Order: sequence, then C-alpha cells, then structure tokens
Amino acid sequence: MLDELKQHVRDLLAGDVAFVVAYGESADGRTAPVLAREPADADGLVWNDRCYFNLTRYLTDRDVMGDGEAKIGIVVKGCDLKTLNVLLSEKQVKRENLAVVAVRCEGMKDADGNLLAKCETCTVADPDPSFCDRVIGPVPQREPREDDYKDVDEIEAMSPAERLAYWSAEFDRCLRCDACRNICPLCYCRECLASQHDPRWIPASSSIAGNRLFHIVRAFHLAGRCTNCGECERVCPAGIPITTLMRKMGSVVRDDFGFEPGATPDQRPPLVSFAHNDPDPEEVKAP
Amino acid sequence: MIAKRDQLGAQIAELLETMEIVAPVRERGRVYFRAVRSPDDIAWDYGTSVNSIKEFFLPPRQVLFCYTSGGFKPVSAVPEKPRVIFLARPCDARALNIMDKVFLGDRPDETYAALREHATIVGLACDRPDQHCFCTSVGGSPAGTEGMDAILIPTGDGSYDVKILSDKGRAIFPDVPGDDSTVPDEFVQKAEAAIRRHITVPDNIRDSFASDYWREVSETCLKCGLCSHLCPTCHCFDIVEEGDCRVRCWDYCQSDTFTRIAAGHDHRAEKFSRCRNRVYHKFDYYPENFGVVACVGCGRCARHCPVNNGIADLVNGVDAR
Amino acid sequence: MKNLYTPRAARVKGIVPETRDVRTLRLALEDADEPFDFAPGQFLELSVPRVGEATFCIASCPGDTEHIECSVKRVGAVTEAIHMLDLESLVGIRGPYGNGFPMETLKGKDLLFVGGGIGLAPLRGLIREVLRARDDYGALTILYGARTPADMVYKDELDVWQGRDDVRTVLTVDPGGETPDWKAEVGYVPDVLRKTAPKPDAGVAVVCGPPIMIRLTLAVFDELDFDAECILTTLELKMKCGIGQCGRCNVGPLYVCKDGPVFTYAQIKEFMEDILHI
Repeated sequence: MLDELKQHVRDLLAGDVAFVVAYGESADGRTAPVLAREPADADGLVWNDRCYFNLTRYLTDRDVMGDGEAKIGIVVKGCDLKTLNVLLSEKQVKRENLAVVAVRCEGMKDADGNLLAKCETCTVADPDPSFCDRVIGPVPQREPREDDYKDVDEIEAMSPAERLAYWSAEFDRCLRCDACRNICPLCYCRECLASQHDPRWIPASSSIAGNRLFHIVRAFHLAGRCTNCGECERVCPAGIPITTLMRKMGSVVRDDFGFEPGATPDQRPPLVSFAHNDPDPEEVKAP
Repeated sequence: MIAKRDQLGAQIAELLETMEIVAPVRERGRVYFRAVRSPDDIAWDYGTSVNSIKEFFLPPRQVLFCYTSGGFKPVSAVPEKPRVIFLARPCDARALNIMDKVFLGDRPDETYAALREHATIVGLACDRPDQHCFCTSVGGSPAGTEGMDAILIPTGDGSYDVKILSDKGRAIFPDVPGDDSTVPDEFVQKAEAAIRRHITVPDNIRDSFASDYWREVSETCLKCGLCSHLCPTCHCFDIVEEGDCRVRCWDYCQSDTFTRIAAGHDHRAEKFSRCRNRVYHKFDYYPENFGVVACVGCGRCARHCPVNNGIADLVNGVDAR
Repeated sequence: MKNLYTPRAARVKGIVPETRDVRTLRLALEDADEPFDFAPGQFLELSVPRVGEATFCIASCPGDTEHIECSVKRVGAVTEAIHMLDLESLVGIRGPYGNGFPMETLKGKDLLFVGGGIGLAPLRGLIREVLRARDDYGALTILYGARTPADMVYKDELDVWQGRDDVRTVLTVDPGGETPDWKAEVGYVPDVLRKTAPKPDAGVAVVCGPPIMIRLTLAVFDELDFDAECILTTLELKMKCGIGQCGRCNVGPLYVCKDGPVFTYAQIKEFMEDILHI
C-alpha cells in the first residue's frame, strides 16, 4: 500500500502539482509531516500507526500556501477528510487546486502503543471516495464502538460549582504555549483574538482570567466546526482534556441544529446561517 | 554517603516544615516538577520531566508593580519560604547558570536573584537518557554537577550516593561528610555512553545565515511556542498591563506579534526568519555575547514538538550546506 | 523592593503639536532622587498608567535642563493614549537606556545629519548638543525630508537652523508632497542625498528615519564610497524591557536597546539579512 501511495505521489509531483503534504520522516527518523516537492521525495514517504497528524493544518498555513493558487496534493485519513470538508465549506481552500489522496486506516497509536480514543469510535476509516481524487489501502477490518461521551457525561453530572472547580484546575495548568491553537487546522484567523494587542481582549499571561478566556473562547469559536481530530489534546504539554470541551460543544450543535461538521464539503455552517426552523432559544433545554 | 529513598524521604518531610520542596511528580502519565506536600508524591525513578525548573526562577507570570493614585508601587516576588529543587537533572541545573548570564549580568533582575538565592538545587545524576537527549554535545554531561548544591547518584537499587557541592547543599544534608564531591568515573563513563543523540554545532554557522536551508527546515513548523515554553534556557518575555498592574510573562519568538511594531511592520514576518533567529540566538549570538551555547541538550524541543521537528536537527544539517 | 521595571513618576509639563500625528511632550520627573543624566541618542521607556509602555528616543539634549523631551507619533494603543494626555498628567519614565552617540569621536569632524519624518527626533538632541559647542565641530549639514511640509517636525527649529550661516540645511518633501509655496527640494531623502553627493572624507554621517529610508540611504552611502565606520544610524525595533533581557530587539547578536540604538553601519552591515525587511 505504501508503494502505491509513493507512486501516486510521485506521479502527482511529476505532473502539475507544486508539492504534496504527506507523512514522511523528520531528520531524526520519526514520523512527521513533510512537504514533498520533487518526485524523488516520494521515496521518503511513510505510512504507519504514528501518522496521527492532521495534515489539513498546512492548507491554512500562509507561509506554506503562499497565494493559494498553486495546485497541491494532500494525504488525508478519513478523519482529516472531515476537516478538509469544513475548510471547503468555509471557502478557505479551493477544491480545484487540490489533489486529495485518501488512505484507508486501521487506527493510530500513541507513544505507549495504545489506540487513540478517537480511533476506537471512528466511522470514517474507509474514506468516502466522492470527496477524494484517489483512495489507497486495504479496506479496514476493525469495527468501531459507539462513542459513549462518558467524559462529557461525567462533567455534566457535576454541579455548576463543581464544574467551575474542575475546569479552573484544568485551565490553571495551561502555559499559554498556543500549541493547541497552532496545530488546529481550523484556527486560521490572520489575527487570533488571543494575540490582539489593541484592544487586549484576552490577557497575554497565564493568569486565571487569561487561561479561562482563551480556552472558553476557542471552544466557542470551534463550536460546530471542530471535527475532533484530537490533535489539540495530543500536543498539549499540560494534558488538558481539550477534546472533552470540544465534543461537548459539538454535541450541543448537533442536538440543537442537527448539524455535523465535515459531513460534506458544501455545508452551510449553522452559526453563520439562518433557517426558519432554527431552534427557539426559549425552547432549547438548558443543560 | 549512601542514603536510601526512605531516609531521603524523611529528610524531605522534615524540610517541608520550613521550606518549599519542588520535585518531580507523576500526573496524567507524565512527569512534572511541582511543589510537593509529601515525599510520597515524588516520582523518584523518573526519566525526563515535561517542564524544566525554569519556572521557579523566571515565573511564567509575575506582577512587577501596581498603579496607585500617585504613582507606581513595586510588588515583591521574593518567596516567603526558601525552596529546594529536588532531583533536578544535570541539564536543567546547568541551564540556570546559562540563564544567569542574562538575569544576573550588568543589570541584575531583583526577583530572579532572590529566587536563585533562596533556592537549593539537589541534582539527580542521569542514568536514563532517552533518544532525544544530547547534553554531551553542548558542553554538558548526564553526570554533570554544574548549577547544583548537592547531587544524588543512583546506585541502582533504590539508594543514592549523596555528594555535597556547596554550603547550601551542606545545610540540606548536614550529616553527609563533605570531602568528596566528585561523581565516580565509572558512573560518568556509563552515563555518557548511554547518550544516543549527538549534534555538531558548526564553528562557521554564521556563514549560513542567508542560506535557503532555513526556508526548507522551517516548512512544517507551526510557530507555536511549545519549544520555547519547555526549553530550560529560553527566557524571552513580554511586559503587559493587566488591570491595575504591570505583569511580566513568558513569550515566544515564533509568535506573530513578537517583533511586530505598533504601526504594523514586522521585520521577521516570514516564518523561516523566526525559526532561523531562534537557532542563531541559541547557537551563535549567545555564545558570542556570553561564551556559552544557550542549549543544554535536554531534548524537550524534539520530544514535545507537535510535528516532531527538533532544534538539534536544525543545527546538525547546517554544515552540509 | 524596587525593581528594574518600576517607572519613576513624571508629569507632562508641556505639549507641542508638531504635525497631525506627532506631538512633542515636555516631561519633568516628580522626584529629584537621581538626576536623569542622559547622552544624545539614548532613549526612555514612557508609561501611560493602565495603558502600557513604549520606547521613545530623547529629543532634547543634556543641556536642556528644564525638561526631558520626546516626540511621539500616534500609531497604536499607547501612542494614542499619549496623544490624549493633558498638562500635569501622570506618566512613568524608565531610563535613560541605550548607548547614545559617541560624542568624542564626532569632535572636530564634518557632520552630515540625514533625517526622515519623525527620525529627526533623535537627531535633534544631537544637533542641539553639537550647536551648543559649535566650534568643537567642522562643517555641519542637515538634510531632512518628510512626506509633505505639514509632516515636518520641529518647524520652528528648522527655521532657526536655516537662519544660521554656520550650518547648511537642505529640506525636501516626497515627490507629490510639495505645496504651491514650497521652495526647497522635492525628492525622497536618499535621492536628494545622492544629488548633493557628499564626499567621503573625514566626516561622519548620522542617519535616522523610517526603516526603509535608513536602508535606502545606507545604500546610497555605499554608492558614494563612504567608509561604513563613519556612518552612524539609530535603529528602532519593537522593545519591551529596554535593558537587553527580554530577547526581543536583537539584530544578530546585538541588542538595539543595549548595544544600540546607535550603531555604525559597519556594525550592522553583517546583519542586514536579519533586518532586511525592516
């Protein structure tokens, strides 16, 4: 399968594609995102159970994409494809400029060799071919289990005071390193609210107010958009359960608007659209 | 003098009555340096910690002064209790001496100086580097004692050979005879041989400043601040207003706003120039200004980089160009 | 415990509007504990309570004992707040910081001052200091340009300098910036410099202005074969601590706040690649 992937990328690069965002090796031999530019670069591609990176992140990297007019290729897993659909829905990237190479996936593992939580419940291991230009790899065998939202439910079972204590303790761990924000493909604002100086909406330091605002505002900005790739939590040096917060926001949008981000590339995001049957705030049940 | 863990633990428990003890603890499957309440919290057999001990000398957030009706009232950040940093690795201890060059230089920072003064560093010699550690390539050693007041050398069976290195160390371990403060050669050789990662800092690194190399190696960098925040020698900071006070807080040179002036201009607007500047700051400018590389080879940047880049790689490849 | 970052209280004692977006502040420290001894070319950090702190070069000279002066262009949050200060407003001052101009090496030399826009501010302190001991220096030439006549700072002082017969003053505005009654040069400062074709003799040139003007002017001095050791410039990058510790304002291994802001062209030539986009 890797050979097929390499050959396909080789062909793309020999054609009119400027570069391909793919999985390769870092200089110290670890699996890492790479930008393959010459056909020979395809020899260095990898595919293994450490390819957890969501490469769509680079589709919103201005240093990488330049003016966004070049034709480029990208390797995506089924979960990454959902993020790509959100980027297309939000008009951040042009489909006609992309050669989308999807890979079928048996799941990714963390540093200790355990299957990632998101992979246990994954229903897109076999990517939808209508969203890609090529699908590579054997049909996945593993049956996903249902997402029980246990982590979200545990917090929902807490009283408001308990929840405040819980999240305050979590956000106190935050260093404001911005790794979660910077690895998120959907955090692509030219000027992040948290970086703005004038006015300074969110304190720059790791103060209690600053940390809470940063995470809560980010959760709201990703509500109805986050496709749960889980990269934010993977990279957090403090181990903050960011995906729990994101999945909570996602479940609210799903329940209230019946909307699942990333299902197709031409969705109308609910928070920027109006429909006559939008839920009445009076009728929406408080959590 | 050989001491068992429970003996050292009892010593820690006694010190806790009058001092703050910072030691490695296990949290969420990883190890962090935190203030502990009991010797039972200590992760004695840790390999590497996520955070370094930098934050106990350069606080991530520090109030500098508060506004009053007539002026500016300085706020003291001098700790109430003296502190022991327990089980610091040689790389992290050495990093403090490197940071001292800036903060205890021609304009000594009062808070940093007080925190250094009030802290005793008890080191733990390192017999378990991982694949990212490269201290021996940058003037350090897993058996190094630079920056420490005492060192514990693991004997392999839950005991430690305790060596005193300074008066402060003696005050923590008054019963330890203080004549011999050297780490045994056998341990040193074994420990240094266990280091798997080596880098070469080219002498002529400045010649490569204008090379395209920097554009290539920075392509996948996310410009997040993780490497800087975890690095024990990165010390760049921001100064901001927060309510009625002015605060100093950690900052990182990869940030979009680090060098951007109010009028909007930024001479390091391009990602590669920030990446290049960080490497040069550590491996060229700091040595020129202070005589030492601003890197201790702890490996945190490579170990924790969200996209598996590593600063060691960046320097290693320069020579080839 | 006092710390390096606590400002000294000062009051605004005078406000001089210079242009539509530049005003000069005259400041006086509240306490007389320590004299504010500065050299031309040094800078201070000016705080507006609860708004922030920003770097300004000192535009007065040590001989101006009554007030410390700095000129402020309105570009962001802090400078906006400075432009709303009244007389007697409380501000904070940290400093003086930086290395200042090497006055001793300027003695006896012909001096060519090249300024653009608000870049005249650090030059003014230097020019005032030089004029206070005019006989200690050789021929003096001031080349100053701004976008339009209205954008020129220190208009009264420019008149005084133009009126002196022991100083040659050349004023210019950008092409398209001239008004019907403008009688002096029209052209960007680097171009006018090239036109005046100063000779690279034993003189010293001092260049201050917006980043692009500095870059292009230094390139003209290269064309005219000037010795890079004999060209001084003041750089301005984003600063926070002002004392070489926050790591922000470096040009290669040099910190603008500590090793500068006054540099010789020779010092920074090696690092132009690092500040190419200034």
